[in-house]
Amino acid sequence: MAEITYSPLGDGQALDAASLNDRFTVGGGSHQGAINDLTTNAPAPGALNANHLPSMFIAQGQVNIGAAVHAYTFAAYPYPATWAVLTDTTPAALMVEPSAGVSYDLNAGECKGVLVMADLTVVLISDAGVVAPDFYYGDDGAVFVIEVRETGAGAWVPIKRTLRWVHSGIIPNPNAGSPNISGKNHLYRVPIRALIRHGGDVNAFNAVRVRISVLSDSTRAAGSPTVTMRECQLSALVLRSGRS
Amino acid sequence: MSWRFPKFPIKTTRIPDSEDTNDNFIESAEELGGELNEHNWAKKGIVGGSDIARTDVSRDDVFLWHSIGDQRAAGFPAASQLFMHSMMSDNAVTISSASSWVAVSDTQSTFTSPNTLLWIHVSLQAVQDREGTASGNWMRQVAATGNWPAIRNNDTFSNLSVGIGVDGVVIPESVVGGAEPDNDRNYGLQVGSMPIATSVVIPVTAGQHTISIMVRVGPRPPTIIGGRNADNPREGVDSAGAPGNDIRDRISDWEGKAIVFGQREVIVLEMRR
Repeated sequence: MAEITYSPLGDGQALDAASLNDRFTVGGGSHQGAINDLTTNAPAPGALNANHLPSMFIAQGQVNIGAAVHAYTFAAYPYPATWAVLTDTTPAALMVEPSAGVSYDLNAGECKGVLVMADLTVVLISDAGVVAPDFYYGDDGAVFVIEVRETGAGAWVPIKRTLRWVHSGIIPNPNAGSPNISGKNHLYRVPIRALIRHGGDVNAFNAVRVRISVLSDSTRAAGSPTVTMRECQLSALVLRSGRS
Repeated sequence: MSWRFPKFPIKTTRIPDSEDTNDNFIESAEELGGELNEHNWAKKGIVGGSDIARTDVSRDDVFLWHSIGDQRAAGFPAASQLFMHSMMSDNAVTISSASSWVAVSDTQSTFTSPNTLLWIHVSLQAVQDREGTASGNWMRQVAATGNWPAIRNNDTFSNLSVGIGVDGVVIPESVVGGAEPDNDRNYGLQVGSMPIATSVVIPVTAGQHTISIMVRVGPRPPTIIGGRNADNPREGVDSAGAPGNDIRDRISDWEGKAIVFGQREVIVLEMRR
């Protein structure tokens, strides 16, 4: 802020519109000139607080699937049958809509990016049609992908760079080896991070969810590969942001 | 500023006075030198009031993001197409076993920033290269046969550590897969297919910076299936009991073994305030 050079009205000087206006508006040292150019040291420390400033996040949402176990089984050989929305046994979907019905413009709005973080826990990849310990097939697996939609009624769009997968990795009849690992849970953790943005992804953001599909080992004739999930978390931070 | 302006309001029942006018403006001039406090800003003014619009706060002054990633260019694979070669990114990068950290070179974000905090995320899919195929690694195997090579667990997998690189330096707090190895063994994740993510918050000085996915692909530890060689603890014996599987031999055994990096993303959030 420029220094204010207010010259006091003295005896004999007229107190009229002209004398006041000169002091208010003329020159960089006037009140008008100075106040229109506030510098960082003009406010006292702490002058601006939570009542004045916006949050770094325009909105946020988070959802957990609890300890309830949900199994996804696909018996169609040799390919998985379909994609499914990751849910708990309620079934409540692993889906976050930070503000119900709100669509954030990722091109021209205050938000240029949405940070999505998913952490998924795979308990066991097995064949539901076979009794332990012979229910492992090395290439049975689980595939996950994050999907977003632009509006509440919009289509879900898969974010291709978030495709992630894990395999059972345990060969059949593992109890023949040492150590005996029959019945062992896999307990894989699948973390996914993505910045949803305009251009290549979607033009706007309303909600995010996670979908799952099940892979079948190609070395067997048939089977019922099953993926059992446990705790999963999904969060979305609508960032007050610009893009580089 | 301890009072609201003006100190002596001009009212219809009062004659304007030079001294009052001077007091109004001289004190305000002095206070404006650095004492505007919470009384001088409308509550919720910036958040949603009419005096100062929330949009007056520049978006770039909150978060500014940089992001680079890689994915499968073709359409999203239908459930019936979920084979390795159809799921894998078109620009998958294969990195052979090495003793040092290397950057996944085509997934780096370079930008210029002021003094700021960076919130960095990396997220990727890694897969063990297939070992022992007639046609070489699994990428070539896929090209030759169109099949999905098996990646069952065995003792031929490489170890993998992943970290975040800031201007070429691996940030230790970001490393997934263990600490620096000693001379005799190496550490790291050793699973067939590995979804990995890590993040870190780190301050940087003003200037140009490059953020990278740093990986270290190591050979597996020496075979100790049959126990240690009694004469040389560093030397293992193989499953047939034959000595000589020194770690140096093992490293030479592992030339060409590798890990493939598929879908991946680097997210850098400049936290300006």
